[in-house]
Amino acid sequence: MSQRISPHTWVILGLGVALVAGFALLLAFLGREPGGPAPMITPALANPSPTVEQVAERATPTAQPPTPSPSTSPLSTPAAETLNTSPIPTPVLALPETAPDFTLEQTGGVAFTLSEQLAQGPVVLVFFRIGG
Amino acid sequence: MELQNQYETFRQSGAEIVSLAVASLESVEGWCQRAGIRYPVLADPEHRVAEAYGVYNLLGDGLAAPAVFVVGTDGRIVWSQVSLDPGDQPGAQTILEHLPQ
Repeated sequence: MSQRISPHTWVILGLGVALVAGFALLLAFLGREPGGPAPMITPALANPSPTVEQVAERATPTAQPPTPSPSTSPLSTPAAETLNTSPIPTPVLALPETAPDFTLEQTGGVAFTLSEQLAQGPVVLVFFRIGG
Repeated sequence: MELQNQYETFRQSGAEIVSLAVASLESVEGWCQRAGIRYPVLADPEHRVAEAYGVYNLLGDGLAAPAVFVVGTDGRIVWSQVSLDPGDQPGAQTILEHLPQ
């Protein structure tokens, strides 16, 4: 080989291959299909990207977007849920786009209605945490 | 408290800042007195509003998660921030930056 490859490159390449292989293993484990061809580790090491893509393609149909109301589908596949999990475990937020109107009592005992206040200008709602 | 210090700035910008807490009105009033809060704080003891805004019990402790919603005069939420860290309230400056002009 006339081209020089620095040891650095090999380390990065090695890490990349290890990462891809680990990911492929994980996907294979989560998206196992009985009778389907088991993804092989050795080809993944030799030529990682196609294997990962294949595994990902097979896994894709099972991955559903998160449903807004989790109570309606308690039997969704564990694999899909695991695949949707982001690296930082956060609960699925279902935040409104328009502010639901409400009336609550405020300090001093006066009622506060959001829509009435909005007639006078923007409103910043701050949810505080007071125990008890 | 920071929001209290910035309250006048908020009022000058034309926005009203309203705090809500999942607690009885009595608890809220006691807390405001102790903390020196003089702007309106709403009691949401049945957590109806916290639920409607999707922030109730996100931390599993029966309270609302720390959250801020900036609501424009048309009722649309123009900016929001929900934190899963119980001690994390967004700063007044951050909120001011996201007020509708």
